[in-house]
Amino acid sequence: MEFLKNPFLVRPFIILGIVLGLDKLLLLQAVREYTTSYMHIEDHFYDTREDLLNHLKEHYTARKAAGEKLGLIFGTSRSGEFDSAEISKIAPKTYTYNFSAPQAGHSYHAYWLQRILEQNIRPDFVLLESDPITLSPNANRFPIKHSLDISFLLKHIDFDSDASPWRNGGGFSTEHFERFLLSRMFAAYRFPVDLRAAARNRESHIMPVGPGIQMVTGLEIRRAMLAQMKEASIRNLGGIPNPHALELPENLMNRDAETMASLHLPRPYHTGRAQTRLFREMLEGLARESIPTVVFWPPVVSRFREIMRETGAQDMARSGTTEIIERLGKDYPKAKLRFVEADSKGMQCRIFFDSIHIAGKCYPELTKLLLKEIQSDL
Amino acid sequence: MRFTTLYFLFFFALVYVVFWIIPRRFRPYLIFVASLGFYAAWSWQFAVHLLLVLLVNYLALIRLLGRPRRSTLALIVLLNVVNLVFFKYFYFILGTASQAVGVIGPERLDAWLEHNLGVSHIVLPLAISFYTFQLIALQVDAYRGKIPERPSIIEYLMFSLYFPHFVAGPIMRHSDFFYQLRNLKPDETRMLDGLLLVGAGLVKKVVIADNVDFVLKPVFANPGGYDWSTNLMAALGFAARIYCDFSGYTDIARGSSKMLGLDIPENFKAPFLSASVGEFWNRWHVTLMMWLRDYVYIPLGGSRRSPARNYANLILTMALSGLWHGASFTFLLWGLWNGVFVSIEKLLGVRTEFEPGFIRDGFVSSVARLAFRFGGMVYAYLVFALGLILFNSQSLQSAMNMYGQIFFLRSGAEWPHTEYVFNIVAITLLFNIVQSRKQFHIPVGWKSYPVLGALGLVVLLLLGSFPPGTTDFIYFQF
Repeated sequence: MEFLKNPFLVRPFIILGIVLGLDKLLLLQAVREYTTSYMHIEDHFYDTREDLLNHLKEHYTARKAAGEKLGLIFGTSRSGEFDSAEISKIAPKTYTYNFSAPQAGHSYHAYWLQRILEQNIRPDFVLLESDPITLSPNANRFPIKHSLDISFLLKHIDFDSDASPWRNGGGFSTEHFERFLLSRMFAAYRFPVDLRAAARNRESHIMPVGPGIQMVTGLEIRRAMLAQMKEASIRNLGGIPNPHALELPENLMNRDAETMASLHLPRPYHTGRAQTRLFREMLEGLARESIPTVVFWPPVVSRFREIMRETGAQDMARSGTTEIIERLGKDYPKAKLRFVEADSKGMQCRIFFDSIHIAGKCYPELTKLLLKEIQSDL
Repeated sequence: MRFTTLYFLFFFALVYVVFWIIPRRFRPYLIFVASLGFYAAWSWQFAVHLLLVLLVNYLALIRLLGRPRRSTLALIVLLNVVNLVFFKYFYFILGTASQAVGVIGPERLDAWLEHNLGVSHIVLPLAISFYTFQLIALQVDAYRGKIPERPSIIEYLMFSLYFPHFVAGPIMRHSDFFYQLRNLKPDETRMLDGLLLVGAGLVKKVVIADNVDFVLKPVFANPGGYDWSTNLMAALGFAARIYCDFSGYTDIARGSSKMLGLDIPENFKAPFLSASVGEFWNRWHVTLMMWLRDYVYIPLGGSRRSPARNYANLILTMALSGLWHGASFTFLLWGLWNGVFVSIEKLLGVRTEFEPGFIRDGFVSSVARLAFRFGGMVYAYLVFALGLILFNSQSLQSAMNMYGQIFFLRSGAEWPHTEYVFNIVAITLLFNIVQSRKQFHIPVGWKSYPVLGALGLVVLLLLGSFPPGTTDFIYFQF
């Protein structure tokens, strides 16, 4: 037994233990304020979804007894502005929880839908954002790092790489599984250290506060945004509605569209096997339960749409989605699935914050447009 | 199973623990089983194929050690070459023949395979070039009487399959390895060196090589779309990338092997500090170049024949080195490119250190000597980097396109990564300087804790900021 005769053989494990212990300091909020930039707070959205589920569990029974109908929204940051109050104006006696999160693909949506259903909570309608971005493999990055759990991943492992994810195949790969383990084992992987963050977070920035402007540090902005996020979980049931009509200048919009495309659309375009399978399974579950559901493509600027067309992303995602919905319609005659491409519905409000995010001011119109599809079922 | 994955970490930790727990005599068996599992994780079918290849080679080895006959050697070398040629060069030969004389092309062969055997194409087994060369060297050495003792089958299998080096080298000789097997015992300095090497290798591969790859790929995919300076920077960047990739792999291989108490040879001796192309090839992928020298260049006559024959031998050897890397004309031309430069240097009498005679005679100061050396380094790096355009291009046409952009100073799209790539090249040179120094040792005993703890934390933070990608080691394809 060499380990007893030569105790130094244990040293690699002791060193690993020490390093892992120090690594866990990065999980502390007080440390993260200095190691991550104030601009990168996406992960906090993921943290707040747990509070949102608890809130839903707490109020579901009472609101159901009061005859109110539950709506759920699953999407990315492009669905974050949907507002429960705005929805209830169009569909009275409803309340809607918004489970959207930045860069969240269908793996994340399916995960939260599963967790909600496990609580015996049955939604009365669902708005599901889906387009080439949410179907792309890149949309798995954040959910794997900041959400999901091991049993969910194991349940959806991709065993048959030849089977089509649109029909009966797809799922998480061993690489996804490894990324999941890495993010759970190493805080440095989940919250990468940005050495410039400490200085940047202390710099002052001009921010609109109330009627005027004020100089505030990055750290103060971060804290304010986190507080707003927490509050939104309770007050706005997960949504962060805003009336802003900020628009990116025309000359920058096209360049932004190229940047967004390079970030979100792999070339040559292909949908992620996990995203596609979970999208399909979500729709199947919703069809089986006859839950009115609107699958919608959010509006994007024309240059981005052009890129989607040129790369084949548009056709691939559209034909796949249409095919699934038609098939499920035949398999489940009581299914209430609708597919809406917002850009083809002639929206009047066309103010874009960037090439893929429509401004907060346009959401009332978008909400109306989507709910119209299922209003008769509510 | 890539060395940079979490799976390898788990795998290695398990092997490490069991290795040092079990009695010494069982350790080679453990390594054999672990190595076979390591290979089978990629393909169990090829693991069976590999075992068959190894068993046939062992039978030949025993025969050669007993009665060294030329015919036995010729037969086993031929079998190994046929195995390599079938899997690696079949399409290349068929494609070339198809173009030349119109026989069945690779596409029709694939269609036939799909229809009759249910496989879409002939797959290249992992590490076939490495293990073939290693096995040939073993057989030739046995024939030459250089193996003093007959290795047991388990020693032979461990030598052949040893997982730290199996997939991408270093190409080992029996003299590097067998003597260590009979004295497998833990050594603190060696183990600490191993930890350091693993950390350094991870940084080179994950932080540098994988990240710069994303920047370089688009340029190599579409050289005509970028201006000449971008194409040149991409070539320079790829030289840094391939060094960090391969040297990083070798560091992890050597480091993990050291932790198991076994030394395997270094493949890099600070190649970017070379002042001539000839010197560069004595410091780059050392084990392959030594193999080519001992089993190709010298048997061809080496430098003992006429100067013309010597140059021809050099060019032929380097061309073979190109073909060893890949079955295509781009790799062949890459080998020829290097061979021509080495031959020209030899013709001009450029010495290893690239110093004109008048400097040696003391005419100018040491500053001039340094300047010449630096000039030589720039020249050798440039030749290597420009040659790599052939190595890394998808096709000959794409490579020519890139050369055209560079040499005719053509315009094209702007590239925002010049500074980043420049920094990567600078960091790579720093790695070479570190490599050229005497090895740094971590203090033994309790003093190792703060040093290793600090280094470990730095490595972890770097890996967190530049997470492992999905790119394979470049040399895995060979």
